[in-house]
Amino acid sequence: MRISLRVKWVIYIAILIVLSASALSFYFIGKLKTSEKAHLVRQGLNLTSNLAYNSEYGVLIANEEMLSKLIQGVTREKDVVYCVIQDLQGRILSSDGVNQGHFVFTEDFNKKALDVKTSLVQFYYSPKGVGIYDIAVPIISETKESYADELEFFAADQQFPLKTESSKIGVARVGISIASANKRIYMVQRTALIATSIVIVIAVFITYFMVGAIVTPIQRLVKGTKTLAMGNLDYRTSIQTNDEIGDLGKAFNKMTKDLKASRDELVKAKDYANNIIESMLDSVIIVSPEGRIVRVNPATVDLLGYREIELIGKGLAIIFLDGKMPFEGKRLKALIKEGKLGNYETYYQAKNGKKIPVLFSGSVMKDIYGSVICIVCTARDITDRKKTEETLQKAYTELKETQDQLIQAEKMEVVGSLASGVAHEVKNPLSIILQCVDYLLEKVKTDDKNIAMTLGHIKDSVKRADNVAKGLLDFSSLSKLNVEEYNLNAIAERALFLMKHQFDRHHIAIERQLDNDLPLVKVDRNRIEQAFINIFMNAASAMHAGGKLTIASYVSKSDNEDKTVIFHIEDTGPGIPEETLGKIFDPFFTTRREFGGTGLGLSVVMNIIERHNAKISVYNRQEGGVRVSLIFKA
Amino acid sequence: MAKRKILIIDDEEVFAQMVKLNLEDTGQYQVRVETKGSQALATAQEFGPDLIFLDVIMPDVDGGEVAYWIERDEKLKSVPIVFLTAVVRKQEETIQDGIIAGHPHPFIAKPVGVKELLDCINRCIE
Ligand SMILES: Nc1ncnc2c1ncn2[C@@H]1O[C@H](COP(=O)(O)OP(=O)(O)OP(=O)(O)O)[C@@H](O)[C@H]1O
Ligand SMILES: [Mg+2]
Repeated sequence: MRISLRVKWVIYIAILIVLSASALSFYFIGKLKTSEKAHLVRQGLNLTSNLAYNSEYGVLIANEEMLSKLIQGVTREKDVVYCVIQDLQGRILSSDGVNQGHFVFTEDFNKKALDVKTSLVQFYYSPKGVGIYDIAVPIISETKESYADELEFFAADQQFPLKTESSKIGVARVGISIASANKRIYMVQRTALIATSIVIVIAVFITYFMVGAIVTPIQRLVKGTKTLAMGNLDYRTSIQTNDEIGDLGKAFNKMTKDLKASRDELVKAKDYANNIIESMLDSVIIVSPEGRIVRVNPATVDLLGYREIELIGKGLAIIFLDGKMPFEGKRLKALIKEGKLGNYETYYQAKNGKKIPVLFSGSVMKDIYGSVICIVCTARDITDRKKTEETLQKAYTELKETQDQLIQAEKMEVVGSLASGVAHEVKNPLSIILQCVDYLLEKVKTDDKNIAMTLGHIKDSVKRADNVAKGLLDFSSLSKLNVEEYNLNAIAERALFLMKHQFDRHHIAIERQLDNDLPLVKVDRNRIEQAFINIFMNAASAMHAGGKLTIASYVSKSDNEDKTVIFHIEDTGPGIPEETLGKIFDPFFTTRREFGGTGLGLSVVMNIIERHNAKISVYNRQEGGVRVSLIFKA
Repeated sequence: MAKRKILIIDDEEVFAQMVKLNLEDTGQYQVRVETKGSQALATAQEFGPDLIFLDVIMPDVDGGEVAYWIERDEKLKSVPIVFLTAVVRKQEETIQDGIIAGHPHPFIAKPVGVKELLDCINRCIE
């Protein structure tokens, strides 16, 4: 049970007063009782002594009437209950008041009284319950001087030897009631009690209010503290006393004010920080040192499609593509050591599995002792940027290609006009030489074989020079591409048609494996035809003793959407020796110079193919012969 | 049997004269040389050839234009024309006997030997 401070103090004070009052009363009433008793006994002794003295004569003469008068005079005195005069044998010579029921003695008691020498005080309770002093004084027949008067009353029950010769003739006994004395004592007691009670009541009141003066402000402080604890920092106590408690109150109010100010500051700062996190467009994820997600902002929820509760408490790996975190192993160490990992490009994975490219940054928050509190992960969605980058990259590549093509075209134009000029200027003299040689061959009929041989050499040389000039013209004709969408099969067919004569002459069979569903490809028809013809001519040259040429086309779908059209041209010739395989595209590399080869055929093909952004590869087939592959982007 | 008349129109005079020499040496042809494109039509009208060799690239009027006018001349339009040209690519040479599909006239690539010329004449005039 809880007892308030005020009640406690009141009880303490009351107990204190009661105790001290009781002690005082006990002492003073004790004193009072003793003095009352002494007073009664002295009064009784006086009375009895007087009676004994006065009744000497009456006893001696046994005059009852005389004695009776004396006795009545005594019983009229205050507090006297009875009065008896006895002779030595205990016979009552005269009495008064004995019938009132107080005078009942035991034998022993009577004997003692009769044996009294100077005086005897005995105490008993009468049958009526009244305390009574029985005082006995001997009645002396005085022949000599008596000292009884001068005896000490307080030592009344002591036997003093009489110093004179005297004879005891009877005993005077007086019964003194203590009832009135008791009554007086009782009255005093009662007064004391009442006074004490009044004091207690007053003290309680005074205590109550005095303690109140201390307790009330404390109670106010307690109330204030409770209100404070409940969060109401606007509470102020109204203690205004000009003392220590007043100081306490002022201190309390100041403390509350300061507390409120600092709390407001804190709340403001926290709100501010919260608002920043909540309103950030970038994803913010707070991770515990154990790698669990502690908090995410709305941007994260929007980005990943998870609900907040689906993320809180989960391992951070959940949000990374295939669970691959950017800080593992080396990078994690670096992160912990340096405290941050900046702008690292990685991928998040949304709830629906979507891959989201992000610019990820992590930073470690440490307390002042250097242990990790949390890791703050921010990420910016860079899908758009990635897209733009890709588009830019693509545009750049295209631009580069176009530029390359333009440069190439320009180069080709210079080479072309040069080549065609040279070819023309060279061919005319060659024509003249050829006509002249033919003339001489006709006219110079001689047995000298060397002349015919020499003229033959001239003719061959003319053909060779002419072939080179023609090759240069081929090269020069590449300057401008005239692209349109074509079915490559058709172009290949036309090249085959133009080559028919050649193939027939060399007994070469043609096998076609053409895919009829080729997508259209943007090409310069004439140039591609030229490339096919050059390739076919090489095949025909390699199979001058007959063989089979296979031409196949098909569409290949690669992993992305770009389709490609692929052509294979295979022959059954001898193939290309490994050591020369690397040189066949070099201009003027030929193994067939004596048969009029210029070594420009495949360089022209390469040029055409490259300018169409296609690819060419030439390799020996396992079964023998050569396969040329052309790969076009559809 | 009368000699066939052959007209050579070529700005390269030495070449034209050598061709003339070689063809006339066979004894079967009467050959005339014209080195100016601008004069070609007039010469042809006057000469009345059975076959015309026509150079494509000439300084004043080129072979194509000459052919255009000859094709539109009443007397000459049936006369076969064979182009002589130095600007022939290898691809075109492979084409059988210098005839490109769709081309109205065959052509011969320079340099050309006597035998090829005679083959060509025989094919065109027969
Ligand atoms: N199908 C093939 N079989 C064997 N060898 C080949 C084949 N195609 C090319 N070559 C080799 O590659 C060389 C270079 O070929 P390229 O077409 O460039 O020149 P060329 O054919 O020799 O001369 P040109 O094409 O001017 O007649 C050839 O000389 C030949 O040795
Ligand atoms: Mg070749």
